[in-house]
Amino acid sequence: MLDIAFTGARSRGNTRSPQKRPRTGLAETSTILCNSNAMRDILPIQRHMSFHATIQSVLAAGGVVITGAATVAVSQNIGVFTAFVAMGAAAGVFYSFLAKGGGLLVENRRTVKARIIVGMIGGIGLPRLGELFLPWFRQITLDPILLIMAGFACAWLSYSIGHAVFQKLDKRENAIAATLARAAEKSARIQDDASTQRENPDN
Amino acid sequence: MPARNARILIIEDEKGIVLAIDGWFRHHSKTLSGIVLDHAPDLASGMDRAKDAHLIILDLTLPDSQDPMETLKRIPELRQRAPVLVLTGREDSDFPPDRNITVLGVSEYGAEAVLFKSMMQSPEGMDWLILSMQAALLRRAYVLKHGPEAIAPN
Repeated sequence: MLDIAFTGARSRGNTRSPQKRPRTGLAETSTILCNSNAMRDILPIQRHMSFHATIQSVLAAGGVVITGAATVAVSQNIGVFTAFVAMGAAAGVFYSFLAKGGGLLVENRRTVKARIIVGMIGGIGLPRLGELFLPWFRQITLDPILLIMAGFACAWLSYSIGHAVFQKLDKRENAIAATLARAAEKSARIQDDASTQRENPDN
Repeated sequence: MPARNARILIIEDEKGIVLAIDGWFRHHSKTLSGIVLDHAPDLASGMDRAKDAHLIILDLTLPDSQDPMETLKRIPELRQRAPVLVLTGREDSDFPPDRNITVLGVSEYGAEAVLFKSMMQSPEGMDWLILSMQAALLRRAYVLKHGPEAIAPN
């Protein structure tokens, strides 16, 4: 029984679909492991992001920023404009980062759809939400205490998000380390037994 | 049955690469407690230490073996003791003009995989290395258990 399965072909197109993904035997992969798409199959968590998903993320992030900026441009308030653009940019960057969680998400049709929906909601919803808070933004720019409080809140939120994301990344690395540990233990046992057998063929 | 210690030998003169691999293993020391990293800065000491290794990571340009072709030729001897992963700073295309490192190293000399040092600059590159190590270890175990013909093409 094989512990690992490889696909040796370097495929183009939809490699996510099991129907379209060519599967070959171990023998055919005795050549170039590192250049093969196949390594994806043994990744504990798939973390490759497709070109299309990248474009979607960029578009969604751009949408958030542009719509946010446009909404504020309509309000013609230069002071709040900065806040809105910053919010849009932060939301966009955050969204791209999560989406790039190519590292974090297993990519399939459902997650791609989810990204589009999140992008649309983010693009339309966030600026609308910002519009609701327009008076509050104005007040913040005038009141230094509120400004500092908001700063702390933002810092805390960023830290929490960053911490959560890095913890998840670390968990992924740990999964890779755990599979290596298992492989090493198994291989060391078999290699040692084989060399003992070679040295003492009578045993 | 107590877990065996697996020895991974890195034959590499560039301290940065060794530190990067060592750092990764230290970071996951709890999970990887059964793996011991060994380091040889040149080919001669690497050949000596290889007898205890379960996996060998080999740099192609070493102080006592400046010619990568010469280092490649030592792979068959090394792989009798443990599977060999080649780690090189040379780009695949400019070496040599007619055959690239990957084809030479893997197909002719029997390395398990060829990885480029430029890959090590990203976390993904380190993942490649770790996963290649895993694949090499499992394949060696499979071959020892079922014989080399088990993976021979046809």
